[in-house]
Amino acid sequence: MKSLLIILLIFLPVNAFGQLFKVVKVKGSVQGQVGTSEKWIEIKEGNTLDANTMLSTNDNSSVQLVANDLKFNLRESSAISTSAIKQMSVDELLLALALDDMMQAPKKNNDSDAKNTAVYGTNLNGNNGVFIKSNDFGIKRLNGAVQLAQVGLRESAVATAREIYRKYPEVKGITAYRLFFGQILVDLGLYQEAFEEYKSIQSLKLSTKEKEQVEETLEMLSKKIISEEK
Amino acid sequence: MKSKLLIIVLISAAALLIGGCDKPAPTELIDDQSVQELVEVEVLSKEIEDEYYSNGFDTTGITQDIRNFTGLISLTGTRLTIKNFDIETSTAFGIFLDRTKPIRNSENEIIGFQSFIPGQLQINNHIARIAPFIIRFRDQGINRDTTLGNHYILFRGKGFGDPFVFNYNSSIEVQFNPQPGNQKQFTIQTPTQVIGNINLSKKENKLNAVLQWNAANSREFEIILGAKKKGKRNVFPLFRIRTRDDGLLRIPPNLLNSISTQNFDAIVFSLIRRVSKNEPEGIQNLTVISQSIHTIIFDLY
Amino acid sequence: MRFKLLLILLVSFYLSKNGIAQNSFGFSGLMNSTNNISSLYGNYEASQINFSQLKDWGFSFIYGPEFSSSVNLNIYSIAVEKRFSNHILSLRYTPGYQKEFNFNTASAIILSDSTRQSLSSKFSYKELFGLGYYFRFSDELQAGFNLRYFSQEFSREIISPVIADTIYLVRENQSEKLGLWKGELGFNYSFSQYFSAGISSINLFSFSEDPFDQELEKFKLKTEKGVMLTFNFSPSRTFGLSGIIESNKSFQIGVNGRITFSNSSVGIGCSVFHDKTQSPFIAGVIPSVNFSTSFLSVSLSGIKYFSDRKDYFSYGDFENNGITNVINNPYSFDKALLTIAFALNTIQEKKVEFADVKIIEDIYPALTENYLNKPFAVATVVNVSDERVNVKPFSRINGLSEELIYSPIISINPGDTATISYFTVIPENYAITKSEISTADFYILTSNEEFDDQIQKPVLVNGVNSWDGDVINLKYFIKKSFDFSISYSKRILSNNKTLFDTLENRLSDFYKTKLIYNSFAEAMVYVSDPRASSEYVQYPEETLKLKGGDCDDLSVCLSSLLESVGVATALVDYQLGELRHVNLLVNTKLSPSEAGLITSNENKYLIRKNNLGNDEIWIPLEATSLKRFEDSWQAGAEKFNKDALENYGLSRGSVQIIDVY
Repeated sequence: MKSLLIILLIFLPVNAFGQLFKVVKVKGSVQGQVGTSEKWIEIKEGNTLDANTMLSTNDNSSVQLVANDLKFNLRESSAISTSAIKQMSVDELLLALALDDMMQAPKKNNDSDAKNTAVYGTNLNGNNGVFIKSNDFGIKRLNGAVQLAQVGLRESAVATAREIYRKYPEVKGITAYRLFFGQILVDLGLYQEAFEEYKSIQSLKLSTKEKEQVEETLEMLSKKIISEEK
Repeated sequence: MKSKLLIIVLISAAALLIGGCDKPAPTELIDDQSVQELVEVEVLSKEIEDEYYSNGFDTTGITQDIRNFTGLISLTGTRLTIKNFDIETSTAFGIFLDRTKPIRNSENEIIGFQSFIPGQLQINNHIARIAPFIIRFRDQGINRDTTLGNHYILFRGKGFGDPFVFNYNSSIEVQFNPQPGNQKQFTIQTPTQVIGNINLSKKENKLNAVLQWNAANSREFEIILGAKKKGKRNVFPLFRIRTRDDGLLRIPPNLLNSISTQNFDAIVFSLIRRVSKNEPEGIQNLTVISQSIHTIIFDLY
Repeated sequence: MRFKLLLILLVSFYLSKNGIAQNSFGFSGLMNSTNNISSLYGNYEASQINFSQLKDWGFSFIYGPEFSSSVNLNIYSIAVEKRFSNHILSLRYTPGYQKEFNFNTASAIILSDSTRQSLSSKFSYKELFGLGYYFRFSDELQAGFNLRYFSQEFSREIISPVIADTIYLVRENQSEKLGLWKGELGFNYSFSQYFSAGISSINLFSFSEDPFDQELEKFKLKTEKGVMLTFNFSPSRTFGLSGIIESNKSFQIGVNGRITFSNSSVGIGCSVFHDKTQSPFIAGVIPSVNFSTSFLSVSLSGIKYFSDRKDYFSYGDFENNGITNVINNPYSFDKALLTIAFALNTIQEKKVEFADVKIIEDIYPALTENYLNKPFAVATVVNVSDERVNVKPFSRINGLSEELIYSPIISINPGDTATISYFTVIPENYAITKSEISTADFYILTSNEEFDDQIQKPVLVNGVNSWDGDVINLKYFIKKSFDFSISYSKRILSNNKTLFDTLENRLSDFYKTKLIYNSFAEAMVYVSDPRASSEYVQYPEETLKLKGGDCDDLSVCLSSLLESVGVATALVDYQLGELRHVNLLVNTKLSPSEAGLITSNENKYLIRKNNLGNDEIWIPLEATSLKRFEDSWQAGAEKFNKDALENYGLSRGSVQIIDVY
């Protein structure tokens, strides 16, 4: 089922190149890094950013961007690449997830998640948000990804999260984010992918409540998958 | 396993080859339908210089060796064909021999016996004449004539001689008055006259003769093959060929070709059909024969 | 047209002729014509077509007693056959094929003492030898031709006078010997595996000498022309029915049964025959038993005639009718026969054969180990034997190597077809740069002796620089001339010994890469693409010597230089429409948390797991940029980010990462 889908997706047209973003509001200190440049520059109101700019906010800082009819506000202690601020289809998301598989040369089972897991305090922002205030760039990136989901760019949020977990493996142990993005996979109806993600989460250090939640979700997903296969 | 078997086969094959090689048995054939030419050949004149009979083979064709008989009455109708001329004669001949009185040559071989006249012989009421019986024999390289005694004779040529005429396919009455003794009288059947024809051909210097005649399936039929000595009148009977009276005979070419032109200037074929009777009316030691002879003479060139 | 007319005339002539005897008579009855068991070689009587299953040599002989008033043992025939592919030649010697008649004629010589010396005649008929030739047009159609030589001797005694001083008669034996040649032609066709039928001539032609003595003409063996039709119906391996009918209405019908064991069989059969020249209507019976293996056949048979074969026969009948057949005529006696036939194979039997061989890969000598795992040719092989065989395939590519290269053994069931893969090995020292069409010889072998089949196919052997366009195979170019790369790279590193003395160990791979890259880029004086073709790849040594090359050449060279000092590399193959590009990924062996040691931009590297499952930082390098290391890195990263990641090239398959080791 999945492999068939991927074969079909290969023939989808390559997404048009990204758009330009206009910085409409800056609060506090916001840095940006363009393309593959080694330099971080200060972002100011009125700047025009190309689609490959990494934005990073400090404590109590934020930046507001506008591109065409899209408006995006990056909150404090967050980082995001402008290329991620886009509407993605589920198909594109699947391609992005497949990319993740491609980069992992050996077996996927050898998850080293739990090893050097620092425990972070979580600040649950209602049911639809996770936020940890930190200077760790990986966590900042996760915060950025959460915000993508909060503005409805759920597919892009998941894809970005995957990329973050690849580049910053140490943040994989923060269960709150994992559960947040896992739930998005469930909501998107990507049960197989969600199942694998929850299986991976199950091997992390979990609270009792989280454990129950994970087990319930896994049970639900396995039922869904079985009924789908039928 | 395979090679072992093969060796066994080869050895047994060789053994069979060596051990068992008979020839298939032949099938014996018998002439139950008389389809084969019957040819019995007998040599008559062992020595070609031997002029045994004085009365001449050419005219009578009588070739019986009288040494085999004690008493013989021979009645013969002869047809002689020489170069498209036919001469017919009739002969009656009778002789009685005293087997106790042999006549020998200088080498003490028996050449005959003394003959005697036991009484009167009548053939078809004609009284047979009595005449000396002379034989010629060869003695120490010289031909000598001698008489054995007397014998009975009647002879008629074409329109002359004795009144006796040989009637073919009929019968002849014989009357014998022995002295002393009672008169004996009997008849003898005569055969159908034999008339032959000879096809003489020469192929690769070899003579081939096919004889044809009016077949009568008589019981006794023979062909005498004779030859006439160069410059002489007499004919030598060489071979007697006994065959069936079926009208056809191919003379065995070997016999024919053995007659050399060096010694002979004519070949003589005598076809003889004969009826014989032994001891008629109880007359002991008497044989009576009646015969038709057709003698054909061919010149050899 | 004229030929056709002649043929029709001939056939109708045969059919209109009548009154010939049973010509088809064979000693073994009709046993041999079923189930492909050759119980006899050189059986010219029952059929002109004896295209047997014989593989090479065949021998047979017939031996046995004949029952007349006595019992005579005879060797009837000895035959040898030899097969040459679709041809079989046979030679037969028949010492026991003879019949003799003795006839005591009524003629005789009468001796002076009145005793008779009768004259006798002898008629002897012998078949001496025969030559046969059979040809197989197809599995269905076979033809046969045979020529037989007979000798007839007629001798008779004749009277021969000897005339010297005295005349006497002797019996002289006169005999004539007449040779006779007979030739026959026949065809056999198998309509199915159960039914076959044939047509053969009877006395198609005969050449006989004429006797000198015309009278003997009638005794000659009768050779009137005719045809015979044969059929063989075997609905199963255990039962067969066969028959022969001749144009004169003589016929022969046989039934037989056979039980087959693992490698032998036992058969029993019986045939009866009607012969125009013999009585009663069914003239005789031929029962037989046979034991056969694949190479040996032993038969016991007999001939029993129903009419009385007396001691004496009529000469008149013989003279009128003569005989038409030497071994079967009204005068033949009952016989018992032992027939032994065996086959001898000096040639290897072909068990498997090629149906086809397809070259699926041109040979690229550069791709040394490629053909150890990937077949360059695939053959379709059929097991034509009746047993399961192990097939050893081997091949030789001429011009590449003198050696025969063995491929894995496969097992094929009888009658099955299998696909065999041919692998090969490229000799290490192969250095021919020119591509050429060569030939490859393919063999299959089932024993340790000779191969069963062989086939030759053209194959393209490329030059040593040729590349099949598959980026995976660039590995082979990288690995070649490795010694050269080691010395080249080590020289660079030793020039910068002081740097490594002060460097943190974990950064050594990154700096090795940087140093080697910079030195490499310097050495390249110009960027050229001399051949602009993806089919030609330079070896690292050549690239450094030529001081340039295309992206394949430069990537291969750089990879080789890095690998030679232990820096792991991977090739990245970009296939974007018509455009193709190759560049490199280099493993820094740094962990993701150490990324900050080499860059502050997460877009300049990627994370890959090693085979222990640990994450490592890899950096993309563009070998063709030939500027400073940082520029090459940046160019590589941008290309990778854009094509592999943003456009999902990796997911879509248009971008591939190929690890060199």
